[in-house]
Parts: sequence; structure tokens; C-alpha cells
Amino acid sequence: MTFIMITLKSCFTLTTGNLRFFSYFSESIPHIYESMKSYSASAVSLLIYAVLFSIAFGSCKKKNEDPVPVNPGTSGKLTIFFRNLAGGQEIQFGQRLYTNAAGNNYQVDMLKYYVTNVVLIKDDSSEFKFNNYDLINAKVDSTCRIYGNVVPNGTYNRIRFYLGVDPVRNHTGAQDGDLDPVHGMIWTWNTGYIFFKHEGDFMDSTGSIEPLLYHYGTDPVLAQIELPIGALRIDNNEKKLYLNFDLNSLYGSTHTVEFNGNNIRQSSSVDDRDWLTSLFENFQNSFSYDRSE
Amino acid sequence: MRKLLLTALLAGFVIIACKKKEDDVIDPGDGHNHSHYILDIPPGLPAMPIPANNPMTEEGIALGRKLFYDPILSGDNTMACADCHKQHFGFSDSTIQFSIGIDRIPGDRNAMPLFNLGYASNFFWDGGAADLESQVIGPIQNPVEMHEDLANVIQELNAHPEYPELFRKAFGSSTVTTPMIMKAIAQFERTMVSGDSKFDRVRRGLDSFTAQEQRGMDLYADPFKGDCVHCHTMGSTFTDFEFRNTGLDSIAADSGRARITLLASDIGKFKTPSLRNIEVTAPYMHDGRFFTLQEVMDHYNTGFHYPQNLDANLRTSVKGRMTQQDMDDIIAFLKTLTDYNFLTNPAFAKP
Repeated sequence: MTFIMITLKSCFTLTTGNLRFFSYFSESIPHIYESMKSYSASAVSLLIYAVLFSIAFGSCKKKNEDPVPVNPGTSGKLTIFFRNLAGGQEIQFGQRLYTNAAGNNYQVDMLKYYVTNVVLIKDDSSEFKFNNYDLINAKVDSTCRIYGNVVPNGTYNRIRFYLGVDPVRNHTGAQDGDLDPVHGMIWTWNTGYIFFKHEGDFMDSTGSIEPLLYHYGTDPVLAQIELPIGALRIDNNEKKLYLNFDLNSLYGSTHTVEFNGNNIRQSSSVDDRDWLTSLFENFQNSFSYDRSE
Repeated sequence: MRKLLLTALLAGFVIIACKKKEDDVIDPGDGHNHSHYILDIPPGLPAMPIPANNPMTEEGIALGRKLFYDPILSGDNTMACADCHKQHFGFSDSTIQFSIGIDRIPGDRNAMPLFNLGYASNFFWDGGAADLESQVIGPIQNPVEMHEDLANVIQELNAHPEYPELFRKAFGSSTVTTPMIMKAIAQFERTMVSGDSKFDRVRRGLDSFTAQEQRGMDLYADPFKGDCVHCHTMGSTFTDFEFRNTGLDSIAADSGRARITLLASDIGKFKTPSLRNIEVTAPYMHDGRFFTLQEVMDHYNTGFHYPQNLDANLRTSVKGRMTQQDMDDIIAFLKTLTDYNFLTNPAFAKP
């Protein structure tokens, strides 16, 4: 009995981190069990220990659980790809190849945006949430996808997500991963994420090349996008869903965005509000379903 | 009996094991003890809310203090936070109207004093930073201030002979990340509590006002005289933490709070600063346009303009309501808000 106590006690005193605590703890279980058999082998006490251990593990382990548990036989995996286009063509960076609805000839040097809180929706309106915060950098293929999320089996007809960061996460920069300020997607003067960033240039009405700098954000223009995605069937398999984002739709669907005299916008002035509203409404028509496979 | 004892012991472990969870954030499992830091709040100031994701530890505060005084955070490693936030001036920038950044470019707002920051819920003159942690990365990156790239400073800190170990002691990982820098400096800044001025000692019955200081305090609160108290609440933090247009110009040159809210009704509004240590934080106003407290008094007595967003308290103020004697008395009272122990406390000095 004393031996058991010492063994247990040393497990606790040796460790300060909870993860290490659990690994030590589980490693010592067979050892404890052997000791118990030799010292006091009553079935009742064993049962008590079993219950207590299960409480200890059950109650503490919960917090470490994967929010999306893998259940073989009931779920599959889905990776969502974002293709970044201008006028239906894959964007080639640093080349003035594109013309918006206002007739401005423009180029893209940088294109980044946040896709967060992805939700898959079934025909019966039931939903599956990803709880993701992904920064898409159009220049880096590996960032243009939301990787292998475990999704319960079923047929999903629609997808919904935020173009931007929700207010719960939008008011502190002390966050890791794609929300780490090191990615340069948070304003230095205003704690809020730049939901969308397009930097490049365009040919103005006099024929000279002017910079184009669009930094879009702030809570009121957090755009919620919802799209049909055919009938995406998840059935214990790995699926790929391809969505398109088109800059020309952003600059010319509901509202025509004229770059002349409107080429530097950083969501930091009362004067930026019309521009923000135009982009906000255009974002609804800028994403489209391509295919799934 | 032995069975009972063992059962009780195990039950105890269950409780301990689960209770330890609460300390996760400051218990990185690296074999180091992280010492909880309990803020010593002087009487007269409220308890300070500490964010759950950034508890105060001795190690975090010491690291934040070192970073605050280290020019490694600037683009060319020549300028620390402390270069524009000097302790003897209440952590404002001496008598300079606009601080000069590493590229020899002046800013366009006066460096704010730093104390009692844990009571505020937003930072900068326009409240743009939504928490103290997030404020930290503003000046580091601002081209007219420290002009540093975050990726660069993280690389420098990770390659430094001392910092990785200090970060490990504070946050459990020797791989430095942006949130760790933000949290460490915020922890140090939360320790900068000022509440031991003559005013505070009078409140505690340890000192007494002169007749002039007493008159000044009464005028400060008098709605037909100083009328300071509407915004600079009496006692405690000496600010209401609101944003107001104080009529500095008929058309504001700086949009102020509107830069954050994008609301026309916020144009020209700035944060009500605390009046603690006001004697040593000149020049005054968001643009440091007034170099003396007399100039400030003159502005509120006769000098203010009537812009569209002028604060309601000023809109109803009668010009010329104070005599020179009134203003002298109020200034005498304001000088009782200087906290010399704060200005010289070695715990806030360069480590």
C-alpha cells in the first residue's frame, strides 16, 4: 500500500506539466496494478480505483480532446481549395494583365484574405462547423487550402464562411497561428485584422502607373459568404472542394469600383466607408463553386 | 481503514490533478516554478482586471521590463520603448511635442504617459489598440516610431544569447513568438501603478492640502468654474476613459477617434487622459500644442472653438468663467497629483 502511495506521489511531484503528468501516470498504471495484486487484491477496491482513475482521466482529458473527433465509419475528410482569379484567369503576379469593370488596367503584387468559421450545410439546414481561421495568401499554394478537416458523413449542399475575422477574435492581436500579427494582417494603429489585402498598381486615366493599395476590414464589413456546392457527399472518404475567388467580380459585380482617385484605401477614414460598402456587397458575388472530387 | 485512506488519497489526487489545469497558462511543464505576481494596488484605486490569457508572473514581468528598455525591438536596434516613455516624466517623452523615430521622422501625436494602464480598455489617443497586449506592436512597427518588422525582431530574439531562455521561463517555450512579446511587455506595464501622490495621502489622512490646493480642488469640481471633473473624474484614475472633442480647432486637423470608428461624429475626438502626474507630462493635448498648464487652463477658460462635435460639457461652458486666481489654484491642486514614488520607483527603471 505504502509503495503504491509513493509511486503515485512521485508521479505527481516529478512533473509540473499536465501532459507529462498524464504520460507518467499512464506508464505507471500496470506497475500500480501489479502492486495492488500483491498487497490487497480485493475486487471491490480494484473497482473503486478503476472508477477513480476513469474520473481522473475523464474529467481532465476532456479539455485536450480534439474538437472534431475522428469516428471511423461515420466521417470523412474534406480539403477546400481556393483558386484566385482575375477575369476567370489564374492570377499572374506582377503583370498588368487585368482590366476591371471600370476599365482600369491593373496588376496584383499581393493578394491575401482570411477565410474563417467555415460551415457546411445540409439540405435539412443542419450544419457542421470548422471553427477555422485561415489566411489565404494567393502567392503561396499551400495556404490556398483549408486542410483535411474531419467531416461527418452526409450530403452537404451549401457552404458558408466569413471573409474576415469575427468580432470575438478581431479585437486582440495576442493570438497564434494564422492570426499571429507577424503575418502583417493586423493594423498597427487599430486592433483589427485586415480581412482582405490587394496591393499592386494600375494605369490611371492619364496613362501613368499609380499604386493600388486596398486594405479592407473592420467589424461592420465582415462579409458572410454562402454558396451552393452541388451535392457534396462525404462517405468515409477524402474529398476535395474547389472554390473560385475572382478579383474582377470584387471590383465589378453589384458595384463598379473605380480605381482612379480611389486607389489607396486602408479602412481608416470616414471617407473609406463607401468603398468598404461597395466591396462588402461585391464580396457576396466574388466566390463561386467550381467542382468537388 | 487502509482502503479508505487510499481511496481518500486517490480522490485527493483527482481533485489536485484537475485543479492544476487552471494554472496551465503559467505552468509550461519545464521544471521551472512560475511565480504568480500579485499586484500591490494602493488604496483609492480599484482592483485591476488581469486578462485570463495573460496572468502576471515574476518571470513575465522581468522579461517585459527588459524588452521595454531594449532597443532590439526597433528597426536599427537604436531605440527602445523607454526612449520615448521616460520614467521621470511619467513615462511620457520629456518636453518634446512629437517624438522622433529611428528614421529621424517626427510622429504626429504626443507620446502618452504610461501608468494605471490596466484600468483602460483601449490605448493610443484614439483608442485604436483594443487591449494592452495589442498596443505593444503598434509603436514597434510604426514607420515614424521604432519602424521594425515583426518577423525580423522575432528572428533577432530567437538568435539572442539570453532571450530564448527568458521566454522559456516566462511562457514555457524558448521559441519566441509575437504574442509572447506582447504579453510580456503588457505584464510589465500593468505593474506601473501610480496612486501615491499627495492627493492620495491626503485622502488617507496622512497629509493635508494647503489652503490654495484645497481651493483648487473645489474649483476643479465646480461646474461653473473649472468643471474638470466631468471628464477627469475626481480620485481613482482621474479619467472617464471616454473620447471627446475639446474644441482645440474649429476644423480638426487629426480625425482622432474617427480613424478607428469611421464615424463622422467621432472626428476630432481623443481619449480623456488621466491627470495623475500631469505636472511632469508636458506638453499637453494629443498634439502636444500646450507646453504649460496655464496654456491648458486658458484653452478651457477662453480659448476653445466650436467644432460640430464639441463636447456637450464645453458647449455649455461660459467663456471667461475663471479668474487668474482660480486657474492658479486649480494648477496648485493638479500638482498634488504628482506621484514621486512612482517616478522614482526602481522596479520600473532600466533593469
